[in-house]
Amino acid sequence: MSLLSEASITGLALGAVYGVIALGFVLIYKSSGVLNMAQGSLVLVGSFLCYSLGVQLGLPFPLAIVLTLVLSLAFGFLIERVLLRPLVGEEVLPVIMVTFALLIILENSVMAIYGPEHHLYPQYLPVEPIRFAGMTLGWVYILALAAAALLIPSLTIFYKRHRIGIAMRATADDQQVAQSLGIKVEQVYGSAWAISCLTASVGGIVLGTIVGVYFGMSGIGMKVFPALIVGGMDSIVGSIVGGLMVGLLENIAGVYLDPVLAGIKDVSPYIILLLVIIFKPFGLFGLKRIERI
Amino acid sequence: MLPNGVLADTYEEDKALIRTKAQWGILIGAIVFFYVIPPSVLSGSWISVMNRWGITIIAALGLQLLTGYAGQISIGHSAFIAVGAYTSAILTTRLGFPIWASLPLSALSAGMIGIIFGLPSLRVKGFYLIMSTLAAQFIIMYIVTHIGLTGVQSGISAPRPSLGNINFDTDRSFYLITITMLIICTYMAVNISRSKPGRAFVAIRDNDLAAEVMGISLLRYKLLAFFIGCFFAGIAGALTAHWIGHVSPERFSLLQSLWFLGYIIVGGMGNIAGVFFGATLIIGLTEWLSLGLQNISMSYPHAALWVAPFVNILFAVIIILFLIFEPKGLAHRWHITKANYRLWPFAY
Repeated sequence: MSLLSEASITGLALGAVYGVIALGFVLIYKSSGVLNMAQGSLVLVGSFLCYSLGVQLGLPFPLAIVLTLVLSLAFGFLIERVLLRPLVGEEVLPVIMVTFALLIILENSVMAIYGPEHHLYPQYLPVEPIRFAGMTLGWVYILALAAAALLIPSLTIFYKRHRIGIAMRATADDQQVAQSLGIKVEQVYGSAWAISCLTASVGGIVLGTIVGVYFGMSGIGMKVFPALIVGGMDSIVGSIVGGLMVGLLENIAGVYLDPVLAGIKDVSPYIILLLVIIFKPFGLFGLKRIERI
Repeated sequence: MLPNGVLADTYEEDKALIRTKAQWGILIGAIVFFYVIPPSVLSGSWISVMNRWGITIIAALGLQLLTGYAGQISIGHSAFIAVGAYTSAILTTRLGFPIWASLPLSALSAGMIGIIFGLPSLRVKGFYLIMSTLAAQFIIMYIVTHIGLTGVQSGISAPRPSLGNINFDTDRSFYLITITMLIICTYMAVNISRSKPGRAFVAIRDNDLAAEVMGISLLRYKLLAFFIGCFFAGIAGALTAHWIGHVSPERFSLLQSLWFLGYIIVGGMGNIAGVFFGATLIIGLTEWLSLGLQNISMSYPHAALWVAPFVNILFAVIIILFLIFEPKGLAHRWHITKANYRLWPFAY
């Protein structure tokens, strides 16, 4: 198997994880206009929670995954109720700072509780890799792509068809009109946060399976922002496409540029981010906003 | 608001920064106090905290002008401090510059780098600008840790300053430099904020389209804001380098940048005095907590591991409480108190 195709497959899998995490960010942004900087640390919390349930408490691993997802739904509601509800209608900076503070609290709590060690999930996927068209594929990468392939259509359908999804779109369009039509805006915000925590946990569990559960995952979680900017901040499709592109470019840069410039792999998403902001600020699928005085 | 009965007969009087005899008294008293009392009274660890306090305020003043006044939110401030620190260390250690020449040069270089990363501000704002400063944080720190000149991961040493026969090689003597630079920088910041650029910054912050329509050049003033903000960061960086005597990359993390935003939020956005309030409150509380935890760790060694996470969590909780309950910051409280004192016994 060639170096390029291997790098592309792992890059796409990583990119799918970025996309899944970015999806949660887009949901919150679209329904409430809140920019959730803590998305990366929610990933960290999700993966460590699953580790606690599945390894430290010794539950069967599928049960641990399901429990993690349920708990993260509840956690999302809680965050919205405690931190974001008092700041409805504030400017950009206070809201962003609250989510940054949330990031600091979550990351440091994880650090204080679990320490800096590297943990591993039990081997819950088959060890034997799949051979497909001359390529060898680890099950983890299939898992990553499957998670993305499952979440995107279901969330899109939820957004288009389900009552709360439609309420979310209405709220995103105009909060006051939505409220006067009888939509419970608080419920909409709460569900957006809950779903966002859910997708972050899915991303966290998949990421934990690929690279192991450790504190440095928060740095991986930060790379959703390049994905968001490339795809456009308010587009579900864009978040996935952006995630895939950033993951792919990052891994290809890792293969071809790392021998020349050591460590360029980790910083390349941010170089992409800067270039996109300078030349195409609203990304590939983002809505271009026109301002009036 | 001025005290009752203070009137100006000339424009010079009206423009003066210090208006009454009492204000002059308080100012001179405070300056004398800060030069004399901390070095002679405080113990070794607290004088080091005072150095950190002074340098932090210098950097936060820059961020206040950039974010609080001009409204250009930057979460890459500690990377610009790193630019100043590394420039000064490289100039003095590798090229043999005197510290007094490298200090302004490092401030200038940080300002220049600031202009480069401020360029996206001409096209985007809000979240997108935050993202480009986030990119600045990671890209600058990548460059800093991957070129040989900076000593890569282990860092680079920086000499302690000296003037004639006087060596500023202890925390106690370096404090005199810190406080002098703090006074100079505060004077600069106050005057920038009330002169033409400062007014232009506020106009841009409140509505940049309207500001442009009124004839304020966005190109010029947005980039000027980035230059000034990062210039202060460069001064703070150079001071940090020569205070600690060693520059290493872990000092300039994204988390540090968030701390600087925290100082100005707790103190009050768009207010020079607020920087002092915010930095004093946050540094005081977090130092108190970390000292307490270190004392506990004498009897319970595991607590030593908790110092850094707990200090960060305390910081985050302070930010959240302020944003929810006092979003205008401590400076707002201070103005209310001052107005009440001046108007007493009348309500208004």
